[in-house]
Amino acid sequence: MKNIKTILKSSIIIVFCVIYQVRSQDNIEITPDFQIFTSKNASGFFKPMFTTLEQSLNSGLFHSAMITEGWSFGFDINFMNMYIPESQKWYEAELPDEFGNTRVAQTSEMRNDIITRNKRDYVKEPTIYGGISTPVFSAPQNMYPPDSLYKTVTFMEGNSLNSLAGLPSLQIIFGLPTRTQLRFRFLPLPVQDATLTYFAFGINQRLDKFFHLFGKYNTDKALAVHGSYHSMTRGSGFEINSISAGVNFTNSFEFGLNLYSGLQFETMSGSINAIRVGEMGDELINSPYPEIRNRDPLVIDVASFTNFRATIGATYKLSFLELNANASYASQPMLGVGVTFWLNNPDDIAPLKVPEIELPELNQPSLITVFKPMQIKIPFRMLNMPIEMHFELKADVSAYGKIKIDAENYSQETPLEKIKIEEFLSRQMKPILPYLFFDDNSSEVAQRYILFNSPEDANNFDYTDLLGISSLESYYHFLNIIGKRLREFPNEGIKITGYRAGKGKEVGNKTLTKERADRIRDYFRDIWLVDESRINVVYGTTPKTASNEKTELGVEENRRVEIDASWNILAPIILNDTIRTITPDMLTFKTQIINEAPLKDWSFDVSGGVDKLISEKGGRNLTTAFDLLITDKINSLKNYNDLRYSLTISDSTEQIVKSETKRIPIELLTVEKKRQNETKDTIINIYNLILFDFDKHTLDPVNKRITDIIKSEITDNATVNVIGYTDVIGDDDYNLRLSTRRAESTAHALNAKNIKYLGLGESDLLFSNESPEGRFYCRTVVVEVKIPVN
Amino acid sequence: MKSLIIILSAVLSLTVNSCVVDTVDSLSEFTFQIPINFGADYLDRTSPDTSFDFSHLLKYETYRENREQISEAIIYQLNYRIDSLVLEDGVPFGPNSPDLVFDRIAYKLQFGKSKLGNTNSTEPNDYIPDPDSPKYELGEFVNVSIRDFYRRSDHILQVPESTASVISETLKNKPYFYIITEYSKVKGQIEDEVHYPFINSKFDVIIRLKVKL
Repeated sequence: MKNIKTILKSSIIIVFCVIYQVRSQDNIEITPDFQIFTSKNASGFFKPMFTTLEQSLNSGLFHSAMITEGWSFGFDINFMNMYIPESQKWYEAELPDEFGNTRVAQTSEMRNDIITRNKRDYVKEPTIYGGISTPVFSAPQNMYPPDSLYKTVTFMEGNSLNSLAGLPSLQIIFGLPTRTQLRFRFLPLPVQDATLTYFAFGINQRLDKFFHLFGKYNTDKALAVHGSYHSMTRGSGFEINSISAGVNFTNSFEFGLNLYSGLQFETMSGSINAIRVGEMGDELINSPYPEIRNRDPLVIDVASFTNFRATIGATYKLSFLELNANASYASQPMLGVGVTFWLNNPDDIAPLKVPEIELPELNQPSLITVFKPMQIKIPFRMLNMPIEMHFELKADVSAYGKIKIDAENYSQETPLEKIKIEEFLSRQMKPILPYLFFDDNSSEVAQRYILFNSPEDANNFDYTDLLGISSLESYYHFLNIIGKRLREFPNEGIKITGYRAGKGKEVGNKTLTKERADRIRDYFRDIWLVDESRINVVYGTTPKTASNEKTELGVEENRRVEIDASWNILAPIILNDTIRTITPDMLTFKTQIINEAPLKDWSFDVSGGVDKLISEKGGRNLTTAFDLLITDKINSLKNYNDLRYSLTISDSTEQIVKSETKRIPIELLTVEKKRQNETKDTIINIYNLILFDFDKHTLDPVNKRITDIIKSEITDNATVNVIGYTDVIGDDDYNLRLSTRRAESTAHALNAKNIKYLGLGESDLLFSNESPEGRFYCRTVVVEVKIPVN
Repeated sequence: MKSLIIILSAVLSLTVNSCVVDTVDSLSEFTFQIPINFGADYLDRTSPDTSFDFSHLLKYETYRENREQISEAIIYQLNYRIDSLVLEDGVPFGPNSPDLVFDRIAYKLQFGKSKLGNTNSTEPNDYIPDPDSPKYELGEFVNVSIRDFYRRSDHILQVPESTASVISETLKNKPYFYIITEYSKVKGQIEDEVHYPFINSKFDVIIRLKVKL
């Protein structure tokens, strides 16, 4: 027995750092040099190392949830490196009971040149990964003789480790057709005439295919659960067990690359019972610990700091090798690398996904042939026996047109032969809202209103500046429109009334209304050089036709200045313009593919000249239809001869296919061309005109005057469309009825022969309703008069 | 035993080669701390005085178990106290006794020399201070009040690393040495010597033994 040494002190098997066994039948014995440990202190000292062992055992349990449906066999080895946190470098070492009782023993320690007296109960000492330990000195007190047992206590020192390579795991892997992977580890280590036996069993069961968690045809995602059991035994008094359970997820990429992640619970338990043998030196005979003096058995509780671990990693398959690297967060964060040698591991071939395509009625024969879905399964693929396969890959894309039939709906798509842009002469009427809105408690004119800085700038203003812009955009010029008209009609004057909201900060603020009105007067006076005598400034409270202040929107609309003037000054703007229409309103591109191998990526482009109208890219899931609204692109489309479009796809076998590049001709029919060709033409007059007060549908005198103008321009062969709109305030259904009544009132006033009216309510807002003027301009009716000519 | 080492080393080598980090192999070195208790009943001592206390590490099982693998033996800390003192007038020192203050008490280490060449003997009488060995200064206490040192554990010296490392090399091979304690006169002492019929003083020297297992 004397010549038996604790060779396992130097071993990766923790327990053998301090113990050995004489014969397999014998109790585990502890050498005298390690007998300075009590059971509790040994448990604390070695616990970080048990943690390292436990984390080592429970590593390499999964590298990929992408477990194939077939028999497989391989083995792998994993290496890992743990990082030791500072917290695991120290433990609370117990002191002898008598320490701290100052009637019995007076104790001290010197740590970092500082002496601390009367240590008791516990003292901070290094674990096996810590640094230098600190002895505790003791002096027996008067009631005890000088050579009594209460002497100096020392502790084992640590090894000052910040990181540590763990126990490599070597394991055999069996894959079953149930997408189950079994892992076994078995390591018998002869120690003298006995054997330390390490046995482990692990299981990794893929689940997603059973429940179609990621879709029936998914080939790039996998979810599995895993678990393991570990046992390490050697004779009596030595038993360590560990278990783990968790879930892991893998996302597969091209070129054999998998990324995986996992969460697992893990724990270790057991105990090591050892007896104290050998000669006892002075340091043990004099120990103040009864357990050491009396040679009581040493009982080490085996436990780990780690209970949960999160892992991320990657695997890369290279022929029969599968390399892996991972990082785990646990009580000892760790990095790992490993390699699996597959003697047989078939690739998982998923049933081919052939999208079900409803082919439209094409005028021309389609390039597409529809295949029935089929399955190819390759149950076994031996190493170095590649199977030559050809996977069909075809792509096509077709364009269709849609016509807008109401605010939200378009007609059925029809095959598209061309895009037609037609120009019409048009008279456009834009009403002027004589209100200027201010921000809360402010008399500054908001920046959205266009103001000139000098009379010279004002001189350059022309009504043609309002061509091609909307009624609302024209409105932001309204001070300049009025200013210009005051110049054109020098005998006319205006009345400016400042108002404030009846709620909030502006309540009772007379100065505010004055400042608002004065501000507008000053602009006409200083920029448009209007004599002050022509401007009547009035300071009001809330507007006479105030908006409902139950809502903040209503309050916002009452923060304003109103301008009152004659018809000459406030009449709608009437402009002669050229407008263009486009047919159809929307293009729809439908993609059609055949791919026997999984799709890898795709790109779809629509271009006009050098401009890209659509440039979309994607991965495995191809968009089946792309919509392109072109009604707002007339001005750019009129410059192109055609639109060109194509679809490019590639599959996992690296085949790349580009569809035929198709073109949609653009026909531009100008007024001049129509006259040259004596083509029948139409004049389209648009009277975007009538502004109604909030919640009103009846025509006021101004609107009646406007309708009289429109009525005088409607010929017998003209067709008239009247469309009513509202803002967003109020109930949807109510607004629909209100807009219909507005359209109806206008249609009655026009009394035309071929007239239709329609209310759209708030379903198709003409302008943004975020601003008060936007809402006002939505309370309108648009009259479209089409007059055939030639 | 050797077969076990070979097997485990084979496994370990995989680990050692796997990363450029500390490996489990690092754990094959352990550092034990041995408290060496010096102290005895000293009769008819004087101040000033010098005492030689012999110690042989073979008396310690930790040393005996690992003597072949010790890579370093470092003197770490030293603790001194007085447990009992009888004054010149024959009265034991007690709470009401007048205090005595030594100007200094210095500690030195001198290696021993076996009289008969048997260095396995732990018997002090078999050794003498080696005249060829320097006296390594471990440290000193100054203004040592007997009242402060009387059964108190809080007088601790940290041995300078430079001294400890020099001693370490020799100590590995010559684990027998003397701790020399030099007592100065006490404050106010005008006589050349003052006699003390009985002194029981103790000091514990902590030695760190690094063992390559």
